[in-house]
Amino acid sequence: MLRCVLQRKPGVRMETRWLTGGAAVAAVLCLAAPSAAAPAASSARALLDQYCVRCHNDRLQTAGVALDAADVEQVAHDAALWERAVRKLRARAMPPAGSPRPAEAAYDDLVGYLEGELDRLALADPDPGRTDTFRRLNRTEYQNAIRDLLALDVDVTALLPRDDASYGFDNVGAVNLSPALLERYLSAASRVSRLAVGSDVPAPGSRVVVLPADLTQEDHFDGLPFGTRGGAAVTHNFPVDGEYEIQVRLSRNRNENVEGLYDPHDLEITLDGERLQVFEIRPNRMVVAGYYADADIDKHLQVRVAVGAGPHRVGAAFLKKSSALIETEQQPYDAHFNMDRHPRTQPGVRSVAIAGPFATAGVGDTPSRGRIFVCRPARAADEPACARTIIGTLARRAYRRPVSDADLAGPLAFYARGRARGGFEDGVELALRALLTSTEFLFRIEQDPAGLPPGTPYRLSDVELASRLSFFLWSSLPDDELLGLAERGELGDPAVLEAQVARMLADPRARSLATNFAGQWLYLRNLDAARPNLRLYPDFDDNLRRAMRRETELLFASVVDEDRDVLDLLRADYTFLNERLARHYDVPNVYGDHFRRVALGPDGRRAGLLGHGSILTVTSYATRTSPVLRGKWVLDNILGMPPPPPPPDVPPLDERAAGGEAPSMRERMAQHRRNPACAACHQLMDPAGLAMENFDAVGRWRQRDEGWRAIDASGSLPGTAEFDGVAGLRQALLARPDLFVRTLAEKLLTFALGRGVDHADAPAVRQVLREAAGDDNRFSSLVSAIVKSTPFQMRRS
Amino acid sequence: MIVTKMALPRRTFLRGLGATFALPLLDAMVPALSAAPRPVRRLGYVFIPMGMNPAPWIPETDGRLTALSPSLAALTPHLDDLTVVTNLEIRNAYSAGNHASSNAAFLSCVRGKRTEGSDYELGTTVDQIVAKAVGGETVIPSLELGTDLIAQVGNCDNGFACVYMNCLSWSSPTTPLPPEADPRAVFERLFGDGGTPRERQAELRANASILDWVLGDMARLRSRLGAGDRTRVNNYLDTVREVERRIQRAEQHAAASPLPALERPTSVPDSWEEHVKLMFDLQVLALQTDLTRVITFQLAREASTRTYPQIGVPEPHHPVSHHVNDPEKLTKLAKINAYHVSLFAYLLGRLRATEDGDGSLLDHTTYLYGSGMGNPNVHDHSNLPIVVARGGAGDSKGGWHLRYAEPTPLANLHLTLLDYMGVHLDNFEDSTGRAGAVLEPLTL
Repeated sequence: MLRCVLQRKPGVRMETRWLTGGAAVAAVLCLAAPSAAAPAASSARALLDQYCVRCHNDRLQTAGVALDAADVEQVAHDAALWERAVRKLRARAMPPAGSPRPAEAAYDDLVGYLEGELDRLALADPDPGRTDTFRRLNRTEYQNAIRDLLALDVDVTALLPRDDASYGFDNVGAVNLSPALLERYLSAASRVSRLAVGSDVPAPGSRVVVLPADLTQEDHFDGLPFGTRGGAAVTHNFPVDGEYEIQVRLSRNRNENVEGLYDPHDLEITLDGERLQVFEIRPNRMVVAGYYADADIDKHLQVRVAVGAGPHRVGAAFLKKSSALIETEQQPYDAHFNMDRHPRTQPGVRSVAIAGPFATAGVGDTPSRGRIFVCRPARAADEPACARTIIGTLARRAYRRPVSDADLAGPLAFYARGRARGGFEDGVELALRALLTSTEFLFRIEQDPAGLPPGTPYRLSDVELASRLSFFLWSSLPDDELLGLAERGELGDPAVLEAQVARMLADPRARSLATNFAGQWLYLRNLDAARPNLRLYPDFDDNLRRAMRRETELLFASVVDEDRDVLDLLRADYTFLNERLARHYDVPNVYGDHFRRVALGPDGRRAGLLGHGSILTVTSYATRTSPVLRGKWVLDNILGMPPPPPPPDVPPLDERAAGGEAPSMRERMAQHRRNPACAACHQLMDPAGLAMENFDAVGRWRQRDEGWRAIDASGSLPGTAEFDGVAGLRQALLARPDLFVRTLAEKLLTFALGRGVDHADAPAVRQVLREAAGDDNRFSSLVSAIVKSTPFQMRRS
Repeated sequence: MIVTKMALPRRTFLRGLGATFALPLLDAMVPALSAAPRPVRRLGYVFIPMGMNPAPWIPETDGRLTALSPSLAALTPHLDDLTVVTNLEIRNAYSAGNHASSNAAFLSCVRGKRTEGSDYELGTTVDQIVAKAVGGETVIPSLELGTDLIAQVGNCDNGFACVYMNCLSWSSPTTPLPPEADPRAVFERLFGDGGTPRERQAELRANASILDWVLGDMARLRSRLGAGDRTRVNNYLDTVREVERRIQRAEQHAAASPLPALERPTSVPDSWEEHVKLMFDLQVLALQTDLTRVITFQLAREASTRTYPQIGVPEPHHPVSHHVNDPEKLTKLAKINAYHVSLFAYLLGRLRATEDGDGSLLDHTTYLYGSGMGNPNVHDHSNLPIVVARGGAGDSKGGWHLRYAEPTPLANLHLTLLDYMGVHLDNFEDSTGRAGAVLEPLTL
């Protein structure tokens, strides 16, 4: 057991802390350490010689791997190689189909031996990996940090540019800082601090919220008053008490005519659900050469109103007419936004503009001011002390650590400067602005302890651990409770840590796991860019796009909230639907725009992620399904076996045989496997994707393809027998639960660490899986095990 | 009316700028000011939809122009700065969706792939070829502007995705650049938030002192780091110093010249004409401050049904353009043509009135004005209405009517304008040569 304890170096500042932590980690690792057995090694050698070295030898070097020369008794010599082998063997991806394969028991023995050796090695010489010392808050983290620091919801898309992702997540690799980006952070700090403190704005501003052009507005929207249809609700931060103007514009077609305006309609503008005014919109009867002259038809849709500072909800929606009054032709579609194919039958809202303030009445009281001004100086003499309290409180939260007098000297100098130029609040605003531009707010910094030689594993401080936790589970700052525990050095206590994980998962902020983590893991973010071909998929609109995304987020959230077995993500016999999506799925008796939990029927089509329209749509092209993209999605995100990138100069598939009709998808995919350059990977990807062919490119169930041929949805996974359809695929995936849980654990670990996960992390991942398996693979057990793991708790200097 | 009150009163905006080189003080634009020795060359394109009525447009005489035709009459003050070009065509604009291709092929000379989906494909447009070559010298490589706020998705013209009709500029065959029609958004892209000179100056000072503090903090941090991390912090320090320099230059400039009050437009003006003029003002401002050297502007969209009651045309443009040789409709089409030209004359007037180096901004700027359609009645793409404007300073070839004997590719003219910007290509799409001797001075 002594070998399990971390090396101790003399003269290390954090010695005590890291000794404790090291022991804790070591204990965890030692628990699982199996002992190596010499007979296992020799039978492993025999197995490799019998099944593997025919291709993977020093001469052929297939896939760059030579197993004849590799020493299986000393896996330490090339841990990366053996971790790679473990992956292939666990997935039964090797030997390839058609080659002789060992018996299941022999597979298990070999994998058991290799994993045992590798884990033992990791225990003796842990490599927690090295996260970037500096990581910039990305757009999502910045938005959440501002929300939690200042009780202010800002639209960050207007403030900061999009982030690029690495390893599938946009919190990985966010280390660069270009001049253009720094300028954006500067101007964001200025806007946010003004808005939060409630300083007078230099000039009236306006915000125009434009609704997606393909948003159908024929029915009621959740969040708007009952008895209305269409429109939008916009939450806006009104900077001060004052007068503001709200203006609504209607949706127009390419001829600049208001769409769907055949009869008079009433439009209601509301503030926080209270009606401000109702406007009548009358069709223009002046028809010129077949066109209406509609330029002025919505000019009167505006209201000027006094609004108190702070966030308020501005609504604009049409009063619903009884359907008997709407004269429409029979409409085959649910989508209504396109003048040629499925026009609006009633007018829609195009944009809601909010402008002001025009007459400022005062600063007002907002949640932000409540959060910032934790004290109010009664007289001038109290100001310095109060400023110190306010700025000290803000700095501690913003920097995610205890602050010293030296830390506050800079921000307090800015306070003094602002105070001299204006008043107390101007001082606080300037100090806040400096805090929001500071390195320690904009970057998450994990700094090596002084004096540690490079390459030494060390345990993170409790304060650093608190930030790792909060950015993992909330994509935001630690709150006071978490930070307080860290500051008092109590977070290292496993029981305290466990309790914090439970508390944080139950907190509404953990919703970011569904919207941010799962949104990236499952590619839900790509839905925004999905533009299925309108001719082939006329019934796709923004309502459907939104509903698809929400369904998957809600399923993921239900697994988190109810602490379910993560395998339920693949097999859930329930989902979340609103009327629009239910109709898309042919699920009866779901009415209205709000989402509710729906038990799925026995046919199993929609059970789990594989039946979700979101995933089926983002893995399709605009004009057709793609078994390749779907198969790759399954390999990447469910099985954790990403295929290598395609070779260069791949010829396109023949879309059409000479003179004949289009070949079926299955025939086209067969071309892949005829070309040896393509076959190796496509015979892994395509069969999984082909099993999902009963779903069209927007995720509707179908029995026949575009050419009216019956769908053949037979498929297979590496190392499985052939199965039929999505139900068969699901069963095959569930038959290897370890692969899915491992993939999810690796994705979570990548997101939690903000770095790519490699072979050195594999022992830690296996430990996570063992712990989770002991607790029915509950989501919380997965998270807890990750939080306890070596790479999460430690770092290499 | 919300927009009236909020929209920037255009004249205030102009008054604020003053006649001299008035510099809006913002850090984003500063590097460009000191980057290149003046004068630099700029290139703009103004696109008009649905061709023209040829009779009142085409000048009667070829060669030297002493007077302009009725549709072009508003350009008379700039007669010496003009070349009217007749008998140009775009062969690749003939398609099943002629409105879409009229727009899409105008600057690309490419036939777009027929699709309603996101798998659209066109070609890199000439303005973007220039932007790639010279855009690196300015803060904003190119500006894409329009006046229409609607953005339709899916099908716009008989099987062609809306991007073909909406986007004039494409930075690659698959990357359309949507035009911006909201003056406020354009302004903020150019100048940031605006405010009074005093407020902007205070903003700069605050930013400068905050950066100074950040710099000190980072330097302290660096001293506690290992070698690898120090490199990273050095990069951050360089970034902070670079932004500090930009701010310093802006401050120095502020000290040297009084600042104009630059008000930010808050919305789209009520009147379309005011909107167009505001968009032209922003173009002048962007060129004058050398924030960009390449601009495309869709004065109106193809198949637009805008009505022009202010000039006695209450009928929508599109049906009027299908004139079936009805004299009344032809007259109205000519009125619309002349009206659009008068707005272009406004731009030229503003460019002429703006000092730039040893002359006026117009002396160092070339604008191509025209349509991708000739006779809109039959959607043809030959005999296009095309005018090239550039200050005549130093050469005497201005005021010319260049009429080709045979239909000639518009791509030839594009090549010549690329030459003007110092971008020399052997050919461009269906080009058969350069535009010809009359326009050659442009290459000087």
